[in-house]
This record gives sequence, structure tokens and C-alpha cells, in this order.
Amino acid sequence: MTDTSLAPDILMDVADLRKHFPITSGFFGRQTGAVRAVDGVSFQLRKGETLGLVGESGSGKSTVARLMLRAFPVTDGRISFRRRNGSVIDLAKASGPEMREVRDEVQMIFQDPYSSLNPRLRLLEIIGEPLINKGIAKSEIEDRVGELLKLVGLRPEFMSRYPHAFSGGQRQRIGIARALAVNPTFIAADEAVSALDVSVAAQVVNLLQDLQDQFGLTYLFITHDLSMVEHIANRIGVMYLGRLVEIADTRSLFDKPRHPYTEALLSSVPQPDPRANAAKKRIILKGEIPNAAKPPSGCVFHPRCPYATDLCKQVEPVLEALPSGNAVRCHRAAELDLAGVR
Amino acid sequence: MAGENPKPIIEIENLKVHFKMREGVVKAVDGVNLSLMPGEVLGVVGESGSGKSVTVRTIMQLLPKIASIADGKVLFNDNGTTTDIAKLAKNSRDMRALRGGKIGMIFQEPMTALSPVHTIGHQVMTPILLHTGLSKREAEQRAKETLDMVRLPRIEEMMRSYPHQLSGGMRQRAMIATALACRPKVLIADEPTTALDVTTEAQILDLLKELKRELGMSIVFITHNFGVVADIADRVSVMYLGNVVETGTTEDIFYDPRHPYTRALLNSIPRLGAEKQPRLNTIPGMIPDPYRLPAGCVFNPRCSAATDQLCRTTYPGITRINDHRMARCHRVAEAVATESIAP
Repeated sequence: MTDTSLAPDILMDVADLRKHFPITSGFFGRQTGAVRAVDGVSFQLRKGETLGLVGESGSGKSTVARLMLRAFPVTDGRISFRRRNGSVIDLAKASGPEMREVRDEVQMIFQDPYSSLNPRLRLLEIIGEPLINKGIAKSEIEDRVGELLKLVGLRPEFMSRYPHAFSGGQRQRIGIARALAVNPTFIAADEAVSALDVSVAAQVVNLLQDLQDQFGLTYLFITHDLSMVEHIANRIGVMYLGRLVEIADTRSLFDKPRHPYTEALLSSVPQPDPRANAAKKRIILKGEIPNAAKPPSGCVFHPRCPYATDLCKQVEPVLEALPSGNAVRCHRAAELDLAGVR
Repeated sequence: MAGENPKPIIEIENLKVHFKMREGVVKAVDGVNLSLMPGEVLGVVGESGSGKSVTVRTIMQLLPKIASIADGKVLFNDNGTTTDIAKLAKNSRDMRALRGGKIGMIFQEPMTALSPVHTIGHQVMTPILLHTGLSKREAEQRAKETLDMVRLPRIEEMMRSYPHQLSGGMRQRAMIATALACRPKVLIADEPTTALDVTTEAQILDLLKELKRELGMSIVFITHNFGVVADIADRVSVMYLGNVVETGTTEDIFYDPRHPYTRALLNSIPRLGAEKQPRLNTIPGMIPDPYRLPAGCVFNPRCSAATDQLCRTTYPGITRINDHRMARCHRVAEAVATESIAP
């Protein structure tokens, strides 16, 4: 169960993670192919940091988060996780009983605050459910749920109400309280503020940051909103078609992206600044993200890449570590001078 | 932008739309004034529940059954004739001639807006056959031209394709084609890029800007994304809780916002490449319950500039700051009054 050791400041080490969903057809459900949703992703999560994960729909960012929580089996790869007691466990291979223990320490917040809360349960049951499962006394659970509600900025009296009585932002706070109920060390937030209005999203993001300071939480923050991720993340991973194409500290990624896809993403975001938009030369990518069941040859980004060469069409690049600790998956990373947002 | 004082193509005056719910009446739109000039893009921004979608859906008479136009005018000026859409019956001949003919509309979700059981060709041809006297063959030709206009590839194949066979961006283009098939004077775009990825969003925004130039149409563009509105709009109306709180040119709204709500909203969005601030600015409180609206200005409980005498008691009227700017705020009115006294 414990295999590799982790450096003291690392909470999680994901190595060559893969998830292939089978495509079946015919009467007997013969497997005729596979959607390579996640195809060789490696990164490390440092204790107490926020790692942003960005990319278009279909890039596999949500699948990575779900694999880290073992929401479904891992096809291949390793997820070393340092438990609170100091031992290291490979979540990719952990058995059912082992996983049940670890689930206290890894939690998730979902995108849609309307579908992620059971409408038939009161907040007491929604937030207290993990505690009920642990066999904690009812009176104690009520106290704890009251505390959790206060922690996320809601009133303890709310615990006897049902989710329908709350707005989107309040529901997202309820989802956060539920994730915090078991004292996790790691929370994956999958598009946690994407469905919220701007003024409400800002409140929830501030709450997440306060909780991180208070409890030393480590976040994986998945989003397609680049300005939000720039605000909240210490480091950012950019995903494209199941692969991590670049991972860098936030400042370098926005100042000087190293991968052409990152450059295109940054240039596509319309800014709340009309003059800057008019002055900016946008890189409009052709087409859309390809089918993950039939990825292109060579570098998977080459059909849309403005800098692609013959080499890119034939040979797939590897994620290469740079001296700065950042990493990029591009043949031409060293020679290209790409534009950031500053 | 528009030339010397032309007549607006769409003028909404004091529009009120009420929803009859079991719990009471919700004034979803409560006295909105908007105008769309020929050839311009008017951005309408606001948070959910601000009434932006209901306002523009009134232009198409596409309101749900429980909604009714309680008051106001929706004037459509075309070739010297003025039609008050608010007075037309939903299914009247005149309304049907406008809807999909002179006025086109695109939606957020192409998958739900397009029919899953008809081909793209059929769906682009339908409005042409309904609104023009063209024969089937001519309509087919026009449909192909329209698909080409929205930069869809392999036109012949596209005519025979069903929506599920297309990617999200292509579906959005196909939906734009159905709206533009009759070359409308006005295009209403209700969050057309919200469900798209940024790279696809950039493609669609560019396409809409080009089409506007090519066809000389006017666009009402609804969004909650300030980045998108800064990119595409000539003028912007900001809505809050059923009313327009501020209207101005895009430059004015983004570089010199006057209404406290506009200011607070613009302050609460993180900006790409800006210096990192430890916390995001927020607007205190939340959008009030539509059944229990606050007295006075509806924004007063969340407003940092609100005063007890006026803001909490009296609903603010419209203050004209100059020819193309207005705001609905007592404090802006005070500021404008002092400015005009001491020039």
C-alpha cells in the first residue's frame, strides 16, 4: 500500500495518470475503441497551495479531479497521497476499506449547486451525512453542523431548512460546509463558482481563500475562467485533450506562456476593458478540440497550432521540466517567444 | 456607430412585464427604457433575475404564459412605419411576420434551440419559406448562402446534417444561420456564447461582428459577462432587479461608471494580468427576494452611497447625464445638478 516516499512539502504526487473509457458496440458490447479522457498526466500538489486546472470542455480536467478522489477506477498510473497520520498511500490502487478511511481527507465541491444537494434532505442531514456515517451522536452532529454553517457564513438555524429555500450562492456555501464536515486536507473544486453571478462568485472565492488560510487546505481549482484562476491559484496546469500541456506558477504562465495553446487561451479571453480588447491581437484557433477517441498524430494540438512544423505532425512531445520548476509539452517551446497578458 | 440623430430601430418605453405566480405578482421588468440605434450593438448586462432576458424577449413576444405586458411600448421603426409590438397579439399575422423575419433571435443552448429531428438545411429553409415568397429551390439556394455566410464548411453535407452530428461551435453557427436566413434588421442574441469555451467564444464573437458589418443589422446582445460586452457592444445598458440602472457608451460604462451598482460590479470581477489583490471586492448582501422588494431604490440595501432621506424612501427617476448617458440614481442626480450649477 505505501510505495514511494514523498518530499515533506508534497501532499499528492500524480504520475502518468490514465483513464480510458471503453467504447462498445454491437449486441455483445464488444469494445471497439477507447476515449482517452486522461492520457498520461503527471503533477505534484504542494501542501497548502491552490493548483488551478484550466482547459476547454473535453480536455479531461474534471476526470483528473474525479480520479484523484477515486470516483471511478484508474486505468493506469499512480496517485501518492500523504495521509494526515504521515503515511503515504497510492489512491490509484487503494482497496475499498482503505479508500473509505481516506475519504475523510479528500473532498469535492461541485459545479451545480442545484443538482448537487438532495432536495429531500434538510441541511442537517446534507452536511451531517458524513458524520452520521461515522456513528457520531446526534446532538454532537447538530453542534458540528451549526459550527460549519457559521464557518461558511450562514446562520445555524438554517439547519432545519431544505435546499430549495436558498439561493445559488448560499447553496454553494452549503456544498462547501458539507465538504468541510470531515476535516479534509484536500478539496477538489470542480467549476465551483462558474454557475454563480459575478458578485456572488467573488464572495464564494473569498470564503474559499479564508478557509484555506484557517485550515491549511490544499485545493485543486478547476475552471474555464482564466481571470478567476489567476486570482486564486498559486500554480496552474493547462490541459488539452487528456494531456497536461503546460504547468507553471501563475505569474510566469500569464506573463510568458510557453505553450502555443496557453497563448491562444489567454488571448481569447475578452477583457472588461474595451480599449484593451480593441488593441489586442487575438489568436483565433481554427476548429475545435478533437475527438479523444481518435486523437491526431504527433502533438495532439498540431491541427490547430499556428506554429506547427512537420515534426509536430509526427512525433508527440513529452512534458519537459524547465529549470524554473515549470514544465511544458511542446517541441518548439525553447525557440518560440509567446505573448502573455502583460 | 449611427450617424446624425437617426431614429432608433427599436424603442422600449416604460416597459412593465408582470409574472402572476401562486405567491403573488413578480414585477420582472419594471419600467425599462431602452433604444437600439440602426447598425449598433447594444449590450444588456445584469445578474440573474435582473430581467434582461424578459425585456428582450418582449421584442419577440416570446414570453411565458404567466407573463403579461402590464404597461409600456415596444416600438419597431422600419422604413418610416412604426409598429408597437407590445400591442400586437402573440400569434397575430403582424407579429409572426416580424418574429423570425424582420427580427431574428439566437439563444444560449443551440442543442435545445434547434430541432433534433430536422436537418440543418430544413431548419434554415423554414423561415425563408415562411417569410419570403421564394420557391423551394430558391429557398434552398438562400439557405446555402446563409450557411456559407456563417462560415460553415462543406455546405452540401451540412444541409443534410442533424444538430447532434455537429460540434458545439458549429451548432451555434447553424443556429445563427437560422436567425439570419431572412436577413433580419434586428438580431437578438441571448447569451449566445455563455455555453461555449473561450476559444470558440472568440470565433463566434468575431463572426457576429463581421456579420453585423456585412448585413448592416442591429444587435441586442444579452450577457452577464463584462468581458464579452466590452468586446462587442457600442453601447451598454446595465440592469438590476427589473430596471435599467445605467446606459452609456461602452467607453463610459467601463471607464467612468456612474451608478454605484455598475461600479461595484466592475470592481468585483478579477481582471486578467492585473496586480494580484489579496481578496476580491464584493457587493454586500444579495439580490433581494422579488416578492419583498426594498422600499425606495431597490439597490439601496447593498449600496455604499445610499442615503436615508432619499434612497431608502423614493424610487429614483431617470437622470440624463448627457445626450447618450442616463442613470437611475439619486446620488448621480445630485452630482449632475451640482455640476450644472457650477460649470
